[in-house]
Amino acid sequence: MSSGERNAWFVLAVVGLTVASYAVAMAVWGPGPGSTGALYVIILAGLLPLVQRSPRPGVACDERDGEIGRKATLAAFAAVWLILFLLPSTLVGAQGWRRVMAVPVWAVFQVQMWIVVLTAAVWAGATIRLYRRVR
Amino acid sequence: MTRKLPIRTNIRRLRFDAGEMTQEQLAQRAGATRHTIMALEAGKYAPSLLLAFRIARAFGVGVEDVFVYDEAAAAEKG
Repeated sequence: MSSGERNAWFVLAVVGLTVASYAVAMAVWGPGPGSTGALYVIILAGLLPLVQRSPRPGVACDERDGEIGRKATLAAFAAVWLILFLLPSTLVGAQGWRRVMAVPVWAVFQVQMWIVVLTAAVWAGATIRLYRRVR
Repeated sequence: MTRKLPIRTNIRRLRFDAGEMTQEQLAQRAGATRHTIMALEAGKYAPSLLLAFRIARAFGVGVEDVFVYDEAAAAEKG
């Protein structure tokens, strides 16, 4: 397994653990700043080892890895744009244009963090799929 | 269903002819990763022209001695 694919599996595992841990945090504290804070800590703690990984000897990344990385990043960006389009559209559809809403700050943070989690999941999924695909 | 590339490679045979050269050794000489060499041998990846030349130079042969355009597979693919 190449280092790119290994990283993708690691990110996917972090995403899975984040979802599971958040479910536990929600069960314990319910929706609010507590579970949002837990979400922050889990994501940061989970992604930290990825930055600290030491490179292996030899060629670490070549044209195939670069190409897969570019395609996976493009898929992740497409997901972000889709969310940025769908989220406000759903809100407008449900609440209307002129509705004034009071939303707690933790809820805004939580939406932001879930977008990060989803983007990471799409990137990791696309990377794994591309490494297995014939090109 | 697995898609088949219209390019066949002789990398495995050429490695054998070059005194059982390992995939790692070829990867180092061609400036690629071992996983890319594995994907090439398995017919799962079509390299860039630059990498194709580097691999051919690593064996001291021409590009068409390493990579063969498979007319039948190409016609099948459309």
